Amino acid sequence: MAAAVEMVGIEKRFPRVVANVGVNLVVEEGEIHALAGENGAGKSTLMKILCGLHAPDAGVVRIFGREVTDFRPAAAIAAGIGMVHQHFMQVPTLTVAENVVLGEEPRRGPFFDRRRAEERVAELGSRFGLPVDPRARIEDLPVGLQQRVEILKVLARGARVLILDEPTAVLTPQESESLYATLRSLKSQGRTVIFISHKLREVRAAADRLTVLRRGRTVGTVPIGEVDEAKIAEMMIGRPVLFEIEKTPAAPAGAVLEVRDLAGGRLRGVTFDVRAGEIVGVAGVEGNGQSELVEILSGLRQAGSGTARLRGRELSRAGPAAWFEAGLGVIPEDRNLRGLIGEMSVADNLILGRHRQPRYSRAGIVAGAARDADAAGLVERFDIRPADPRAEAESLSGGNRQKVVVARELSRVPGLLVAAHPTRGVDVGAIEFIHRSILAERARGAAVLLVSSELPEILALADRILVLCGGAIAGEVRGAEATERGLGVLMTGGAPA
Amino acid sequence: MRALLAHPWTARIGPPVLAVACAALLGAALVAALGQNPFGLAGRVWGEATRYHGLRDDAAYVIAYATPLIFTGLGVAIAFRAGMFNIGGQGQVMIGGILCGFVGWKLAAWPAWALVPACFAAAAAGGAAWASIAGALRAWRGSHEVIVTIMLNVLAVALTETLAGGRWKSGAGMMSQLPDVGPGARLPRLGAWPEGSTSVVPVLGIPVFPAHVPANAAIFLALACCVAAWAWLWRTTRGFELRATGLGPEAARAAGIPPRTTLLIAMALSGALAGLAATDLVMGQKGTWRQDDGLAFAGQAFIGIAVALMGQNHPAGIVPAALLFGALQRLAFLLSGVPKDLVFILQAAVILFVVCGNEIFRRALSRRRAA
Repeated sequence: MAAAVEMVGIEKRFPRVVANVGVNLVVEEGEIHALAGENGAGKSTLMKILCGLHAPDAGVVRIFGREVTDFRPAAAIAAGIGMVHQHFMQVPTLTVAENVVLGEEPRRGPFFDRRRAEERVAELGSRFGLPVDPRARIEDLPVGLQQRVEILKVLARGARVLILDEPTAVLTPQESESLYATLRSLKSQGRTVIFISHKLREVRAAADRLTVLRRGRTVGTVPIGEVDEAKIAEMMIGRPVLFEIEKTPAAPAGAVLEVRDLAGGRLRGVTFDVRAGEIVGVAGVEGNGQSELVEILSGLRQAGSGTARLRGRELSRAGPAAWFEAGLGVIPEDRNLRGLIGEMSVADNLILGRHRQPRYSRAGIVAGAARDADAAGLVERFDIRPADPRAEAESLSGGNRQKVVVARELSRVPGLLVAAHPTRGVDVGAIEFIHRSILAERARGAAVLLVSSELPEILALADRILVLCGGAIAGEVRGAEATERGLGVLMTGGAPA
Repeated sequence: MRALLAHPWTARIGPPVLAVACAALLGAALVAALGQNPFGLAGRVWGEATRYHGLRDDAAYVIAYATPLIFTGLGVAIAFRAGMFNIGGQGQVMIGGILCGFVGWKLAAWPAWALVPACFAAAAAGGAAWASIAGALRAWRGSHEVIVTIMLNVLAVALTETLAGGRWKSGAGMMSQLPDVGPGARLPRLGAWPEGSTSVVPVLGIPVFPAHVPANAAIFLALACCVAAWAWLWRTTRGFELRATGLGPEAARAAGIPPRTTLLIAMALSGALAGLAATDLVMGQKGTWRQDDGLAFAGQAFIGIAVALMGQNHPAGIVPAALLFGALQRLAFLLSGVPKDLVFILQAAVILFVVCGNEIFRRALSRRRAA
């Protein structure tokens, strides 16, 4: 029997960049196949070729044994390929059924046949084990269910091979578990699943086989039972990775940040301290007040009530400049929006916010020599690639952009480091580096507030963990005693175990 | 070739150059559609251009037309670099102009070395103040500067008319105009010296220019403003903050750059540059503020938007762009046998092509990046 997907010797070049060189991928029918690799390894390019968004420069693509000659999205859909995008393509104000049939609506005469659309969606849902109310509005659904609708959309168009692009990036641990169950259900119905990921755990949890790409080449394809996470990581980045971060016990000193009854937006009154030399983790499902907390603690939002003292200065209604002056360093939630200016150079981004310090501004004139010298030093120390301070920040990969932000904020030598999702969308090598940097800050004596939706990250780094639920602190757990399951219960509003 | 295409300057210089080429082709096609030989027409234009005083005349006219365009183009560019669209150049030129004329008249006895800077300052201050209204409303009230500057244009026309036809009016005539500025406020024509001229800086005399052309020393102020704007934007800390606010407003705010002050400064500078354009009219050409001349002159501010676009919002690009639009205006006088509207079509075509070209280059770049 022919494989569901067979891609042989795929080559794709873009001006200045070779995205794929002789990539091979064989996906058997009815398997769950993970495609892993760091950002920029060529995963997306390969999948875009399969979906008919790019034509390869060389190589052969066969779908269920038939060679593809027509590289257009319509042809790929007709051949049974369906893509579930990371960013959902949905109309929030329409219902589930309307979204699923959008583009090929059932009609009765000139009118939209709503009943038939709803029946069809319900039937698809029960056949594949993806229950969802066809009449619910998309905007009322949690992200996990929105993703389910996206999968239904692809199935409604007759997809036999489903490609999921980083599907768990937006999900809670519980929702991820539910997604894995969905994938297994699709498999039992004879569907084939390819999912793109650079998260080792989910690869291990969900896939049957794994293909790893690195720098546009296939490193290898292995059954999942034969490799452990360390081996996968080594395949992805080409060298062994240390997962167990060595962490000495914290030796916290006096409180650096004192937060009392702080409220604003979804944040409904939180009280906690962060002491010098400790990492306090903030866990929680996204949208439970974390963004507001980070915004207030970096001067981007005025608190509605309560106080926040940094080294004794009350700043709950102050702007960013006052926070920085008091000793803040911040890795913002959205680095592309708030951390960096894409069209400016790496060197300019490295002084952004520090540009008024006497070292970089002499009588109002930019001290270009100091800026460039320091930028060259930071680029080397933080291993930012390409090692060109004049490159536009936009041209860097996600991991390297984040390194620019981290480099800048750490070079402030902050008394308090607020790190919001510091490794989101960052590749394995950079994650390791960023984690080490955060621990080094703790060792130096900085107070660190780590906000993350990645529980393993919080568990690995935090000395104390606060769980936010509904804008309030649902519980505090000591890092050494915390478990993923226990935190998960607190996150969703359950009583502590 | 590939290296040339990848060079960062290609994306900046490419679109305007291609736009001019495309507009020229379109113009030729239109002329052919009118039943004329485009090459024949080009020959007649050349013949016309080289008659009388020859190309020196044309060069001087192009400079004369380009002078206000450099000022207003720079003004638009500075606001644009901060992420704002100042289309109120017209009003800013008029307020700057009437203040310039007022100071030149009230302080008419002052010597040139004091009066010229005073008049420059008045023109800049008038434009800056007028634009700051829009800047402040944008920064503190969130009112869109496009709407506000359009409204301020109308107000500026009414306000200057009220003053020039009322309180500050010269004599009893019908004309809304101010009394003449003092001789010390007059900028010399590029060709009008040394003999019989009231030149402030006769050393700068460029005898190659014919004296009857209104090109005057304001061009030197315009060029100085280009250098100053460049140095300010790319060499000062405030300039860095302005560009950062334009390119990434959220990131700039998060970095502690005060967004409101920055927007206000950008708008004030933008208006000051537009206001300085009036020095060309008041001090260089007419020696007074006359309402009808001022109104016609201030209309040039809208072409300044096209100049900024064509010059990619960079001082080094704005000078050639202003010269190009100046040349197109000169072309209108040299055309024969075809409607003068051809020039307007060419202007419009250049703008359209440069917009399309920017978009095409931008997409090509981002595609390369996505790869």
